[in-house]
Amino acid sequence: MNPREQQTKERMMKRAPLVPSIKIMAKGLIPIAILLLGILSPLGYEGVAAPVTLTIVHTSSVNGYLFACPS
Amino acid sequence: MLGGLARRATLLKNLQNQGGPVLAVDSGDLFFDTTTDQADVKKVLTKARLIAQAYKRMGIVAVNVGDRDLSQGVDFLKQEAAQGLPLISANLVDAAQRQPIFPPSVIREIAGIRIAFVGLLRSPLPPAIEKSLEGKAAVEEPMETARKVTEGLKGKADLIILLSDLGWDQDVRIAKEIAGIQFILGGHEGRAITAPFQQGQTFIVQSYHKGMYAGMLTLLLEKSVSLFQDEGRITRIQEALSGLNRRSRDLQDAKERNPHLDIKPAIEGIKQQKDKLQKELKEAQKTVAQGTRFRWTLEPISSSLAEDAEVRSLIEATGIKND
Repeated sequence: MNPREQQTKERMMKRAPLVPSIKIMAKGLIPIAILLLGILSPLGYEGVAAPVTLTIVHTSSVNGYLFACPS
Repeated sequence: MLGGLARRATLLKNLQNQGGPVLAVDSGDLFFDTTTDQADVKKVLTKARLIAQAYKRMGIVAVNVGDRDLSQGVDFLKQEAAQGLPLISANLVDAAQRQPIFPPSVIREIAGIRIAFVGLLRSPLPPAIEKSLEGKAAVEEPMETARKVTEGLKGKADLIILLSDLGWDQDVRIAKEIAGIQFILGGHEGRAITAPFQQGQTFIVQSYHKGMYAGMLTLLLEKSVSLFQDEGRITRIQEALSGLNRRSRDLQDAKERNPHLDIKPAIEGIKQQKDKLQKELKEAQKTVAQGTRFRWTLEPISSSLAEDAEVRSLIEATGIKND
Protein backbone atom coordinates (compact mmCIF):
# COMPACT_ATOMS: atom_id res chain seq x y z
CA MET A 1 0.00 0.00 0.00
CA ASN A 2 1.47 3.31 -1.08
CA PRO A 3 1.26 6.34 1.20
CA ARG A 4 -1.57 7.80 -0.86
CA GLU A 5 -3.65 4.66 -0.55
CA GLN A 6 -2.83 4.56 3.14
CA GLN A 7 -4.09 8.13 3.56
CA THR A 8 -7.34 7.36 1.71
CA LYS A 9 -7.93 4.29 3.84
CA GLU A 10 -7.41 6.25 7.03
CA ARG A 11 -9.82 8.93 5.85
CA MET A 12 -12.43 6.31 5.05
CA MET A 13 -11.98 4.67 8.44
CA LYS A 14 -12.58 8.03 10.08
CA ARG A 15 -15.75 8.62 8.10
CA ALA A 16 -17.06 5.08 8.26
CA PRO A 17 -18.66 5.15 11.74
CA LEU A 18 -20.20 8.53 10.95
CA VAL A 19 -22.32 7.30 8.02
CA PRO A 20 -24.22 4.55 9.90
CA SER A 21 -24.75 6.85 12.92
CA ILE A 22 -26.44 9.45 10.67
CA LYS A 23 -28.59 6.69 9.18
CA ILE A 24 -29.54 5.40 12.63
CA MET A 25 -30.26 8.88 13.90
CA ALA A 26 -32.36 9.68 10.84
CA LYS A 27 -34.29 6.43 11.23
CA GLY A 28 -35.00 7.23 14.84
CA LEU A 29 -35.78 10.88 14.30
CA ILE A 30 -38.35 10.47 11.53
CA PRO A 31 -40.98 8.77 13.69
CA ILE A 32 -40.22 11.18 16.56
CA ALA A 33 -40.64 14.14 14.19
CA ILE A 34 -43.94 12.72 12.91
CA LEU A 35 -45.13 12.19 16.47
CA LEU A 36 -44.14 15.73 17.49
CA LEU A 37 -45.87 17.21 14.45
CA GLY A 38 -49.02 15.33 15.34
CA ILE A 39 -48.94 16.54 18.94
CA LEU A 40 -47.85 20.11 18.36
CA SER A 41 -49.81 21.07 15.25
CA PRO A 42 -53.26 22.20 16.46
CA LEU A 43 -55.24 20.76 13.56
CA GLY A 44 -54.59 18.61 10.55
CA TYR A 45 -55.10 20.03 7.08
CA GLU A 46 -58.74 19.04 6.93
CA GLY A 47 -59.61 20.67 10.22
CA VAL A 48 -58.03 24.09 9.68
CA ALA A 49 -60.42 26.23 11.68
CA ALA A 50 -63.00 26.04 8.90
CA PRO A 51 -66.37 27.08 10.25
CA VAL A 52 -68.95 24.32 10.62
CA THR A 53 -72.45 25.17 9.45
CA LEU A 54 -75.00 23.88 11.93
CA THR A 55 -78.67 23.97 10.99
CA ILE A 56 -81.25 24.00 13.78
CA VAL A 57 -84.72 23.21 12.48
CA HIS A 58 -87.40 24.69 14.70
CA THR A 59 -91.13 24.18 15.00
CA SER A 60 -93.56 25.59 17.52
CA SER A 61 -97.31 25.62 18.12
CA VAL A 62 -97.95 22.69 15.78
CA ASN A 63 -101.14 22.09 17.81
CA GLY A 64 -101.60 18.50 16.71
CA TYR A 65 -101.94 19.26 12.98
CA LEU A 66 -101.02 16.33 10.75
CA PHE A 67 -101.95 17.76 7.39
CA ALA A 68 -101.43 20.91 5.38
CA CYS A 69 -103.52 23.96 6.29
CA PRO A 70 -104.99 26.63 3.99
CA SER A 71 -102.30 29.33 3.99
CA MET B 1 -101.78 24.86 1.34
CA LEU B 2 -98.85 24.71 3.72
CA GLY B 3 -97.65 22.25 6.33
CA GLY B 4 -98.03 18.55 7.00
CA LEU B 5 -96.10 16.16 9.21
CA ALA B 6 -94.92 13.95 6.30
CA ARG B 7 -93.61 16.97 4.34
CA ARG B 8 -91.83 18.27 7.44
CA ALA B 9 -90.09 14.89 7.71
CA THR B 10 -88.93 15.23 4.08
CA LEU B 11 -87.52 18.71 4.70
CA LEU B 12 -85.52 17.36 7.61
CA LYS B 13 -84.31 14.32 5.66
CA ASN B 14 -83.21 16.55 2.74
CA LEU B 15 -81.18 18.70 5.12
CA GLN B 16 -79.64 15.66 6.82
CA ASN B 17 -78.68 14.24 3.40
CA GLN B 18 -76.68 17.39 2.65
CA GLY B 19 -74.14 16.10 5.18
CA GLY B 20 -73.82 19.01 7.61
CA PRO B 21 -74.95 18.73 11.21
CA VAL B 22 -78.71 19.22 11.68
CA LEU B 23 -80.57 19.42 15.00
CA ALA B 24 -84.38 19.44 15.10
CA VAL B 25 -86.17 20.97 18.09
CA ASP B 26 -89.71 21.97 19.06
CA SER B 27 -90.75 24.74 21.45
CA GLY B 28 -93.98 23.16 22.63
CA ASP B 29 -97.75 23.05 22.06
CA LEU B 30 -96.91 20.21 19.71
CA PHE B 31 -99.67 17.72 20.42
CA PHE B 32 -103.00 19.41 21.10
CA ASP B 33 -105.14 22.31 20.02
CA THR B 34 -107.11 24.47 22.43
CA THR B 35 -110.41 23.46 20.91
CA THR B 36 -110.17 19.79 21.92
CA ASP B 37 -113.67 18.47 22.48
CA GLN B 38 -114.01 15.68 25.05
CA ALA B 39 -115.80 13.58 22.40
CA ASP B 40 -112.65 13.74 20.26
CA VAL B 41 -110.26 12.58 22.97
CA LYS B 42 -109.55 9.20 21.33
CA LYS B 43 -108.75 10.79 17.97
CA VAL B 44 -106.72 13.54 19.60
CA LEU B 45 -104.59 11.06 21.55
CA THR B 46 -104.10 8.91 18.43
CA LYS B 47 -102.81 11.97 16.56
CA ALA B 48 -100.57 12.97 19.47
CA ARG B 49 -99.02 9.46 19.67
CA LEU B 50 -98.49 9.52 15.92
CA ILE B 51 -96.70 12.90 16.09
CA ALA B 52 -94.48 11.59 18.90
CA GLN B 53 -93.64 8.48 16.86
CA ALA B 54 -92.85 10.53 13.75
CA TYR B 55 -90.69 13.01 15.68
CA LYS B 56 -88.68 10.16 17.19
CA ARG B 57 -88.08 8.72 13.71
CA MET B 58 -87.05 12.17 12.51
CA GLY B 59 -84.42 12.18 15.28
CA ILE B 60 -85.74 15.19 17.18
CA VAL B 61 -83.23 16.38 19.79
CA ALA B 62 -85.56 18.18 22.23
CA VAL B 63 -89.28 18.85 22.59
CA ASN B 64 -90.21 21.48 25.16
CA VAL B 65 -93.45 20.95 27.06
CA GLY B 66 -95.96 23.69 26.23
CA ASP B 67 -99.03 24.41 28.35
CA ARG B 68 -101.38 22.89 25.74
CA ASP B 69 -99.31 19.69 25.75
CA LEU B 70 -100.61 19.18 29.31
CA SER B 71 -104.28 19.37 28.32
CA GLN B 72 -104.61 15.55 28.37
CA GLY B 73 -102.71 15.22 31.65
CA VAL B 74 -99.06 14.72 32.47
CA ASP B 75 -99.27 10.90 32.26
CA PHE B 76 -99.52 10.98 28.47
CA LEU B 77 -96.23 12.91 28.28
CA LYS B 78 -94.55 10.61 30.80
CA GLN B 79 -95.50 7.62 28.65
CA GLU B 80 -94.05 9.25 25.53
CA ALA B 81 -90.84 10.20 27.37
CA ALA B 82 -90.52 6.60 28.61
CA GLN B 83 -90.75 5.48 24.97
CA GLY B 84 -87.87 7.72 23.93
CA LEU B 85 -89.36 11.12 23.07
CA PRO B 86 -86.78 13.68 24.36
CA LEU B 87 -89.20 15.90 26.30
CA ILE B 88 -87.59 18.70 28.32
CA SER B 89 -88.90 21.24 30.83
CA ALA B 90 -87.00 23.18 33.47
CA ASN B 91 -90.10 24.38 35.34
CA LEU B 92 -92.64 21.54 35.12
CA VAL B 93 -92.18 19.80 38.47
CA ASP B 94 -93.63 16.98 40.45
CA ALA B 95 -96.25 18.57 42.73
CA ALA B 96 -95.09 16.76 45.85
CA GLN B 97 -91.31 16.69 45.51
CA ARG B 98 -90.92 19.89 43.44
CA GLN B 99 -88.38 18.11 41.23
CA PRO B 100 -88.41 18.44 37.40
CA ILE B 101 -90.46 15.66 35.76
CA PHE B 102 -88.40 15.81 32.55
CA PRO B 103 -84.76 16.85 32.06
CA PRO B 104 -84.48 20.67 32.25
CA SER B 105 -82.10 20.73 29.28
CA VAL B 106 -80.35 18.69 26.60
CA ILE B 107 -76.74 19.31 25.56
CA ARG B 108 -75.34 18.45 22.13
CA GLU B 109 -71.72 18.96 21.07
CA ILE B 110 -71.10 20.10 17.50
CA ALA B 111 -67.58 20.93 16.26
CA GLY B 112 -66.41 21.15 19.86
CA ILE B 113 -69.15 23.65 20.78
CA ARG B 114 -71.51 22.52 23.54
CA ILE B 115 -75.06 23.64 22.77
CA ALA B 116 -77.67 23.48 25.54
CA PHE B 117 -81.39 23.51 24.77
CA VAL B 118 -83.42 24.56 27.79
CA GLY B 119 -87.22 24.25 28.04
CA LEU B 120 -89.69 26.56 29.82
CA LEU B 121 -93.47 26.92 29.91
CA ARG B 122 -95.73 29.67 31.18
CA SER B 123 -97.09 30.10 34.64
CA PRO B 124 -99.81 30.26 35.87
CA LEU B 125 -101.50 27.71 33.64
CA PRO B 126 -105.00 28.33 32.30
CA PRO B 127 -107.56 26.82 34.78
CA ALA B 128 -108.69 24.05 32.38
CA ILE B 129 -105.11 22.83 31.91
CA GLU B 130 -104.37 23.16 35.62
CA LYS B 131 -107.38 20.89 36.25
CA SER B 132 -106.09 18.27 33.79
CA LEU B 133 -102.90 17.90 35.87
CA GLU B 134 -105.03 16.41 38.72
CA GLY B 135 -102.62 17.82 41.29
CA LYS B 136 -99.77 15.60 40.00
CA ALA B 137 -97.61 18.39 38.56
CA ALA B 138 -96.97 22.09 39.10
CA VAL B 139 -95.20 24.85 37.19
CA GLU B 140 -92.42 26.86 38.83
CA GLU B 141 -92.02 30.58 38.14
CA PRO B 142 -90.23 30.74 34.74
CA MET B 143 -88.03 33.80 35.30
CA GLU B 144 -86.44 32.45 38.48
CA THR B 145 -86.07 29.00 36.89
CA ALA B 146 -84.37 30.52 33.81
CA ARG B 147 -81.92 32.33 36.07
CA LYS B 148 -81.07 29.13 37.99
CA VAL B 149 -80.74 26.98 34.88
CA THR B 150 -78.46 29.40 33.00
CA GLU B 151 -76.33 29.74 36.13
CA GLY B 152 -76.14 25.94 36.41
CA LEU B 153 -75.05 25.62 32.78
CA LYS B 154 -71.99 27.84 33.25
CA GLY B 155 -68.94 25.80 32.32
CA LYS B 156 -71.11 23.01 30.91
CA ALA B 157 -72.39 24.74 27.76
CA ASP B 158 -70.86 27.26 25.32
CA LEU B 159 -74.19 28.25 23.84
CA ILE B 160 -77.65 28.35 25.45
CA ILE B 161 -80.79 28.17 23.34
CA LEU B 162 -84.10 28.55 25.15
CA LEU B 163 -87.04 26.60 23.77
CA SER B 164 -89.83 28.74 25.12
CA ASP B 165 -93.57 28.37 25.35
CA LEU B 166 -93.78 31.54 27.43
CA GLY B 167 -95.02 33.89 24.73
CA TRP B 168 -93.36 36.94 23.19
CA ASP B 169 -93.56 39.40 26.11
CA GLN B 170 -92.04 36.97 28.62
CA ASP B 171 -89.33 36.03 26.09
CA VAL B 172 -88.34 39.69 25.77
CA ARG B 173 -88.32 40.04 29.58
CA ILE B 174 -86.03 37.01 29.94
CA ALA B 175 -83.68 38.40 27.29
CA LYS B 176 -83.60 41.74 29.12
CA GLU B 177 -83.02 40.39 32.61
CA ILE B 178 -80.99 37.20 32.18
CA ALA B 179 -77.58 37.18 30.53
CA GLY B 180 -76.09 34.19 28.78
CA ILE B 181 -78.96 33.05 26.54
CA GLN B 182 -77.97 33.53 22.89
CA PHE B 183 -81.25 32.52 21.22
CA ILE B 184 -84.86 32.17 22.28
CA LEU B 185 -86.76 29.91 19.91
CA GLY B 186 -90.22 30.88 21.04
CA GLY B 187 -93.75 29.78 20.48
CA HIS B 188 -97.15 29.75 22.16
CA GLU B 189 -98.66 32.53 20.02
CA GLY B 190 -97.11 31.07 16.87
CA ARG B 191 -96.00 34.35 15.29
CA ALA B 192 -94.29 34.48 11.91
CA ILE B 193 -90.97 36.15 12.70
CA THR B 194 -88.85 36.68 9.61
CA ALA B 195 -86.38 39.15 11.15
CA PRO B 196 -84.90 38.10 14.52
CA PHE B 197 -85.63 40.57 17.31
CA GLN B 198 -82.48 41.51 19.20
CA GLN B 199 -82.68 42.29 22.90
CA GLY B 200 -79.20 42.87 24.31
CA GLN B 201 -77.15 39.89 23.18
CA THR B 202 -80.17 37.60 22.75
CA PHE B 203 -82.08 37.01 19.51
CA ILE B 204 -85.77 36.04 19.68
CA VAL B 205 -87.71 34.28 16.93
CA GLN B 206 -90.91 32.23 16.42
CA SER B 207 -91.86 29.85 13.59
CA TYR B 208 -95.59 30.52 13.03
CA HIS B 209 -98.11 27.78 13.87
CA LYS B 210 -99.81 24.53 12.78
CA GLY B 211 -96.50 23.36 11.27
CA MET B 212 -96.93 25.50 8.15
CA TYR B 213 -93.34 26.73 8.31
CA ALA B 214 -90.10 25.45 9.80
CA GLY B 215 -87.71 27.96 11.30
CA MET B 216 -84.14 27.48 10.13
CA LEU B 217 -81.40 28.80 12.37
CA THR B 218 -78.07 28.44 10.59
CA LEU B 219 -75.02 28.95 12.77
CA LEU B 220 -71.50 29.29 11.39
CA LEU B 221 -69.57 27.75 14.26
CA GLU B 222 -65.84 28.25 14.59
CA LYS B 223 -63.49 27.12 17.35
CA SER B 224 -65.06 29.44 19.87
CA VAL B 225 -68.37 31.28 20.01
CA SER B 226 -68.20 35.07 20.08
CA LEU B 227 -71.07 37.54 20.00
CA PHE B 228 -73.65 36.41 17.46
CA GLN B 229 -74.29 38.64 14.45
CA ASP B 230 -77.36 38.42 12.25
CA GLU B 231 -76.13 37.93 8.67
CA GLY B 232 -79.67 38.44 7.38
CA ARG B 233 -79.63 42.05 8.60
CA ILE B 234 -77.40 43.02 5.65
CA THR B 235 -79.81 41.40 3.17
CA ARG B 236 -82.80 43.11 4.78
CA ILE B 237 -81.14 46.55 4.56
CA GLN B 238 -80.15 45.90 0.93
CA GLU B 239 -83.74 44.91 0.13
CA ALA B 240 -85.04 48.08 1.79
CA LEU B 241 -82.58 50.13 -0.30
CA SER B 242 -83.76 48.41 -3.50
CA GLY B 243 -87.35 49.20 -2.52
CA LEU B 244 -86.48 52.88 -2.09
CA ASN B 245 -84.70 52.93 -5.48
CA ARG B 246 -87.81 51.43 -7.12
CA ARG B 247 -90.03 54.04 -5.46
CA SER B 248 -87.71 56.80 -6.63
CA ARG B 249 -87.83 55.50 -10.25
CA ASP B 250 -91.64 55.25 -10.10
CA LEU B 251 -91.82 58.89 -9.01
CA GLN B 252 -89.51 59.98 -11.86
CA ASP B 253 -91.71 58.07 -14.35
CA ALA B 254 -94.82 59.74 -12.94
CA LYS B 255 -93.10 63.15 -13.31
CA GLU B 256 -92.34 62.40 -16.98
CA ARG B 257 -95.99 61.57 -17.59
CA ASN B 258 -97.18 64.61 -15.64
CA PRO B 259 -94.59 67.47 -15.64
CA HIS B 260 -96.68 69.54 -13.19
CA LEU B 261 -96.29 66.90 -10.47
CA ASP B 262 -94.17 68.06 -7.52
CA ILE B 263 -92.05 65.08 -6.56
CA LYS B 264 -89.26 67.06 -4.86
CA PRO B 265 -90.41 66.54 -1.21
CA ALA B 266 -90.96 62.80 -1.79
CA ILE B 267 -87.55 62.42 -3.47
CA GLU B 268 -85.92 64.33 -0.60
CA GLY B 269 -87.64 61.99 1.92
CA ILE B 270 -86.38 58.92 0.03
CA LYS B 271 -82.87 60.36 -0.05
CA GLN B 272 -82.86 60.83 3.73
CA GLN B 273 -84.09 57.27 4.28
CA LYS B 274 -81.43 55.95 1.88
CA ASP B 275 -78.66 57.85 3.68
CA LYS B 276 -79.79 56.38 7.00
CA LEU B 277 -79.91 52.86 5.55
CA GLN B 278 -76.48 53.26 3.89
CA LYS B 279 -75.02 54.13 7.29
CA GLU B 280 -76.78 51.13 8.88
CA LEU B 281 -75.48 48.89 6.08
CA LYS B 282 -71.87 49.99 6.62
CA GLU B 283 -72.18 49.39 10.35
CA ALA B 284 -73.83 46.00 9.82
CA GLN B 285 -71.13 44.90 7.36
CA LYS B 286 -68.49 45.86 9.92
CA THR B 287 -70.12 44.14 12.94
CA VAL B 288 -71.23 41.00 11.09
CA ALA B 289 -67.64 40.38 9.99
CA GLN B 290 -66.46 40.57 13.61
CA GLY B 291 -68.76 38.05 15.31
CA THR B 292 -70.10 34.53 14.96
CA ARG B 293 -72.55 34.74 12.08
CA PHE B 294 -76.04 33.27 11.91
CA ARG B 295 -79.02 33.34 9.56
CA TRP B 296 -82.69 32.91 10.35
CA THR B 297 -85.27 31.99 7.73
CA LEU B 298 -88.82 30.68 7.76
CA GLU B 299 -89.04 27.79 5.32
CA PRO B 300 -92.57 27.14 3.99
CA ILE B 301 -93.62 23.49 4.15
CA SER B 302 -95.08 23.66 0.66
CA SER B 303 -96.65 21.06 -1.61
CA SER B 304 -93.41 21.00 -3.66
CA LEU B 305 -91.95 18.86 -0.86
CA ALA B 306 -92.80 15.20 -1.34
CA GLU B 307 -94.40 13.41 1.59
CA ASP B 308 -92.07 11.11 3.48
CA ALA B 309 -93.29 7.56 2.76
CA GLU B 310 -92.56 6.26 6.26
CA VAL B 311 -94.49 9.04 8.04
CA ARG B 312 -97.24 8.87 5.41
CA SER B 313 -97.75 5.17 6.14
CA LEU B 314 -97.84 5.87 9.89
CA ILE B 315 -100.65 8.38 9.29
CA GLU B 316 -102.53 5.98 7.00
CA ALA B 317 -102.32 3.23 9.62
CA THR B 318 -104.33 5.40 12.04
CA GLY B 319 -107.15 5.79 9.51
CA ILE B 320 -107.18 9.56 10.03
CA LYS B 321 -107.67 11.24 6.66
CA ASN B 322 -108.04 14.88 7.62
CA ASP B 323 -108.11 17.19 10.62
